[in-house]
Amino acid sequence: MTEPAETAAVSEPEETEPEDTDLEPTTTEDGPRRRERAGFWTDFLTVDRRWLGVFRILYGTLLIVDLLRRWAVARFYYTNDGILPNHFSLFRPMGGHLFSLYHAFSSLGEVSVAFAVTLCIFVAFTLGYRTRLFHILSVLCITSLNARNIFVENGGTVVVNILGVWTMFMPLGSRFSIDALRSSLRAHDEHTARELNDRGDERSRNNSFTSVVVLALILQWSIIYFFNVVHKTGHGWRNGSAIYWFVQQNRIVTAFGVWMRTHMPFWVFKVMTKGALGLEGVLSCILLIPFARAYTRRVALLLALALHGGIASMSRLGPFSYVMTMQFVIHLAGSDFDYVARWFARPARARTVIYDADCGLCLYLCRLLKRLDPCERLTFIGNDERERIPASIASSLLDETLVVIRPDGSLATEERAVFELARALPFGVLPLFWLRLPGGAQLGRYLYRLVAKNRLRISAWLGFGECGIPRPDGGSALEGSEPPRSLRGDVLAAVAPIREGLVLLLMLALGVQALGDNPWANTRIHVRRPEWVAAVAEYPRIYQGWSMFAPEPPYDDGHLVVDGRTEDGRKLDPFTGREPDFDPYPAAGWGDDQLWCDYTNRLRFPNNAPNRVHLREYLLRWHEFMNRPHDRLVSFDVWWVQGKSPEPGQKRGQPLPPERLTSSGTVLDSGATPWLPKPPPPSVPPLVGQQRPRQAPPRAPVGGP
Amino acid sequence: MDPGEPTLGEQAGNVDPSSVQPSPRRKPVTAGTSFSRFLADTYATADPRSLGLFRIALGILLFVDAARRYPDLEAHYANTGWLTNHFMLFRPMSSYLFSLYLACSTPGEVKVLFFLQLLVDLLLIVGFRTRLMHLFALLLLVSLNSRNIMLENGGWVVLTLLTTWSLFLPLNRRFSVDAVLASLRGDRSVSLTRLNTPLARDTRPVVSLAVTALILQWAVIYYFNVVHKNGSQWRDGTAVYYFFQQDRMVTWLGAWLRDFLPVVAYKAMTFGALAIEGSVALLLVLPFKPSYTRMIAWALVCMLHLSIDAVVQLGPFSWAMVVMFFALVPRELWERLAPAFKKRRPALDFVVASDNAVSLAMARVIKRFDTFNQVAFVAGVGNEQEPAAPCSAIDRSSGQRYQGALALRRVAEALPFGSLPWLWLALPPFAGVADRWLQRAAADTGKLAAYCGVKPQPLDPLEKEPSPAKHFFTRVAWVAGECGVLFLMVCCASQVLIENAAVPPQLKLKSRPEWMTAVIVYPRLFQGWSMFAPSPPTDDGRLVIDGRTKDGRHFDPLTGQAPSFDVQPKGGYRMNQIWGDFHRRVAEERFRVYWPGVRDFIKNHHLITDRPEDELEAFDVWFVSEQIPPPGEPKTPPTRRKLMSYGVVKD
Repeated sequence: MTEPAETAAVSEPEETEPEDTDLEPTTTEDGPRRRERAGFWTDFLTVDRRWLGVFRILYGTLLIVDLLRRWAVARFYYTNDGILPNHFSLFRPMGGHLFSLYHAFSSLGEVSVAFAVTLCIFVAFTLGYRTRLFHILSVLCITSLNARNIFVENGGTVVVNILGVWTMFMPLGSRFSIDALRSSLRAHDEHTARELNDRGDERSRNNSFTSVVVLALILQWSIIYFFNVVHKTGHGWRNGSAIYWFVQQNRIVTAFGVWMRTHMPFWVFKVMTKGALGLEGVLSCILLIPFARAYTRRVALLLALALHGGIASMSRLGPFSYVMTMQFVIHLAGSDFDYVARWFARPARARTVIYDADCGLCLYLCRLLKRLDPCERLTFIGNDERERIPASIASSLLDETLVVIRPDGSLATEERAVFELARALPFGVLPLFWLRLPGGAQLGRYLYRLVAKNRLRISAWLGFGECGIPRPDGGSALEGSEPPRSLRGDVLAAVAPIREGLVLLLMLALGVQALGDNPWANTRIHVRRPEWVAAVAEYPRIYQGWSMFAPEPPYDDGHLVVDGRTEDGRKLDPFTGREPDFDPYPAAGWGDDQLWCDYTNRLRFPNNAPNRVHLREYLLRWHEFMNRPHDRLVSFDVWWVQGKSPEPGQKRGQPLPPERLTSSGTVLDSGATPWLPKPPPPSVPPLVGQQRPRQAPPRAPVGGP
Repeated sequence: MDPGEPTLGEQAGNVDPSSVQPSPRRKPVTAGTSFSRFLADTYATADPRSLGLFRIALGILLFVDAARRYPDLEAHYANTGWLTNHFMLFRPMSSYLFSLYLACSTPGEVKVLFFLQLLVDLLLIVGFRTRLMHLFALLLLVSLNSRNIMLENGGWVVLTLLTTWSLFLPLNRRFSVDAVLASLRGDRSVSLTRLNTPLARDTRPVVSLAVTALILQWAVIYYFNVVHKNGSQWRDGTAVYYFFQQDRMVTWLGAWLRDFLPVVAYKAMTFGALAIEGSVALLLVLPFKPSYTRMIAWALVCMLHLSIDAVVQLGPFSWAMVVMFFALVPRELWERLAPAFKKRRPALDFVVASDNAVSLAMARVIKRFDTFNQVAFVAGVGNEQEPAAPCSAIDRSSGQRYQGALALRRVAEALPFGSLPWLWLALPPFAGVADRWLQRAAADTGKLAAYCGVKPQPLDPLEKEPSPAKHFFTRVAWVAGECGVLFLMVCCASQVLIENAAVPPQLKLKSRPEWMTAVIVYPRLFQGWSMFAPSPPTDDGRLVIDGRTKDGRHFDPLTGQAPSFDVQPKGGYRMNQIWGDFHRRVAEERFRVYWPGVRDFIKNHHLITDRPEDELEAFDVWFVSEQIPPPGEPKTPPTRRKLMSYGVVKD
């Protein structure tokens, strides 16, 4: 039997992942004293690494959700069966400097493989596994995905790209990640309960990260809000009706938005419009305020939640609202994290764990628990430390099961003990909630007993050894001392200026891009954009034109309707599965998702007319894709059904004549006819002596022409 | 070496299940098991050293094959060339076509991916994260080939097959960065006794179906290439004569030889080539004395393919055919060559300053590279006033002592292939810098070592055995790999039956699942082997651009000179394999749809060369060809066929 304590006695700190080198010298202090010394500017350059870890999880989750929603409609948007084949996207690129890895994938099978690989990359990034590498790969994937089909690109996807690019220069994996866990396990090889209970290393970690990229991110968000405010100069924004028109957009409105527009009086929209403008204005400068920064950052997050939460609840704009809010998490102060952590660290969550000190597996699990317990709620006692164990607990019990002592002194054993441990950890209950479900407890107990019975065998199998032998005294050589200067540290220190230089270069490029993309700026400052700046901004799709719903909110609305005829003569709109409906004023919106809204909205423009052929080809084969042969369309017209949004106080607006975008075959009884302007009557003189037959005027639909 | 000794791989935790000794609970030996062991020994076993050498050769071949295409990237792989990515995707030349290069449009984008490919090939050569780099190398090779498959030839297919089959072999167990790192991690001892104990080198054989697949694949290639060569020229012995007359492919040596070689020499070469191809197929599958038969086969292959490559350009074909045999070098040959190698190396004592971590670290690294145990480690004693030198060596035969950079060079000479990478130490500035650093290391015993991250190691730490769980998962991965090889073998076998005319009709597959076709076609693992068969090509041709520049000059942008309709020039056309295949195939009717792309390419050629004065205002594109007359007969006049025009060429 191998003696693990002997082999494990040599810790390997040289293999640990060092903290990224900051501009700021390493310090173990935090809070006001450090800030005071660091100076005025450093404040704009510093963030807390723990919030970076939280941000990584949020951003990674967003990427995963965004990918999954696209995967569900991958055939339509991302394959050669769909509305934009890769060859056409490359032949007639919809943007300059267009590059997408997904252009290499043609069929649904190929695209699905690409999406599966992308999902693995996003998951690895979210979990913080080889974070830097997977962050770069994630940015490559998300920008490629957005560049594959620019029809469905919107401000939200651009902001996702921007945030991904800027945060590439930040150490997102230094906390709450698999990398951090592995690094900690390598650096500190605990063998005794005393070592498990020693949290000194965790407490002395430097949580601050200082870099120009923090300032870049602040400026980026300020620019977004600033231009979005100053460009909103239209009548709708000035008279306070903009939000009213916003919720009249049936393309994007949610059920809540429909409820709002139905029940809210007009003055509420006025307040909301002015409020939105005010919030955007405040958000454009709040992060730049040089004093009371801990408070301003909190307020900024709350304001962003209010603004974007409101937008997200009323409209479907893709990831825009979520990603805009997410960024503010990065700037929260360390004290905020401590405040939040206080909830997880309340005394009621404290637990004492009595583990089998002779079991290598148990020791390893305790080492893992220690690292998953940032709030230090767990206290470890080995079952060989009889003097620390309450006398009421029999030794035989300790030999059989893990024992957890609650704050009230009560005991939990077996699967209950596992659940108690989970309760002590932040979000620990989420993966183990099933242990409290009917049947779950029994299953958990069975599994626990199975593992407990064979724990020594499992320990040996996993190479942990069957018994843990206490490490010789002495501890870590570096414990409590200043980390010595090292070659690796110096190399990383040399990399830091390169990183900062790259950030400054990117800031310069995007600054020039912002001056060119925004009418407010380019009418005041004329800057000639060099080609390399265009390449830097366009390849990763990080444009800087910010005029969402500006200068005017949209006053008209539209929707794609396919007036199709099946083989058996039925009228069918394949995108709704029902008869084509040409009414531009549905009571509850159209319920379309952001991808569809953006695609249809852009397809109607004349410059995208060459792309319509692919929609036609898709419709000709859609019954194959959906495996519905009886719904094969023999002829169809694709219409853009549009209308003026209803004025305040009205339920319907002025419909506009539908525009035919593309056709196949001849649709004899077009549903669009009643909505089209009547052709002028033929100027044939009536025949003398012949009475013209009387024709009933066509019945116009309610609110129709 | 004691076969029961723990291997390097095991020490390092990198256990290769193919090399795991049979368990004590082994079944009793029966006729069946002994036969299966015979089969495994004969057809499924390779030496890890051979595989290491094979990896280096394969990596170099992949690197060179990619690098030689660099000058032609703009013409054949980017949208500045004749085949844009969007047209290739719109009108793919094959079903199941996938290429990462199709995502790249501009030459700049293509070059970024291309340099990434070269980097991956380099990392494969040195064996850094070998399995991953091998996978990437295969993906990028297939992508590069699939970007423009009009230029694809047998050589590319063979190289892809070689890279694919070897993906399932542990090529990193020897002569790789992976192996050195694993060894350093696995054995941290620095006591003199341990340093002087010869390292257990990993020589346990690799047993894998992938070896079988490689042997069978090469036998199939040679077999069908022989049986398909039943045309009159192969029968009457003039085939090689026609081969030499191919001006597109012929090298300067071939062009020089063809002028005076007699017919009898061509006949000898023709029959010789047939005999070699037939023999190699047989020698590869012979079950008796395989270590000898395969080395004879290798010698024949070298003779055949290196002479082919000397006279004609077939891309990587000849080299790929040769490189495979590195994997089949038998253990006996390694053991026979070792003493000869050892004899030429000096025997040295490396002085280890036991209180100096840098010196200890150097000793550990030297030990890993000292395959023939030519370096012994002796203790050097120093004190605070006069510290022991961190790099000092003594020639055992002459007793001469070397210090600093010179000692490093002498130690390098004692290591196999060690001198070459350390040649730079002979240059004065580098030698001076190295000397200074080594002196610093000697004086600054503790700090420099700590600074460099070299930690003092316990003298004899307990070695960490790989856990049974690791054994189990390695075994599972190995079984999965073998299943993958078997699956691929089935797919390739079906392709062999479909593609080769010599397969009897009753064995021909009538149909097969579509996914099997996809498995073959995506990575371009075709199996039709009829190179220059049934007859060698008896005609030859090329494109001639009869262009007029704006200043009225006659100009052919493909040659950079005035258009020449001459055929059979004295030294051949002097074009590489890529351009040779382009000239031969683009005139074929099946590629007519791509001609507008060729026209645009010629029209914009001056943009690629950055010579605006060469812009053409009109041109005709001709395909000039000739029928090669039989030996001794007079030449027939060449024929011209106009393929396309731009503007009006008046004269």
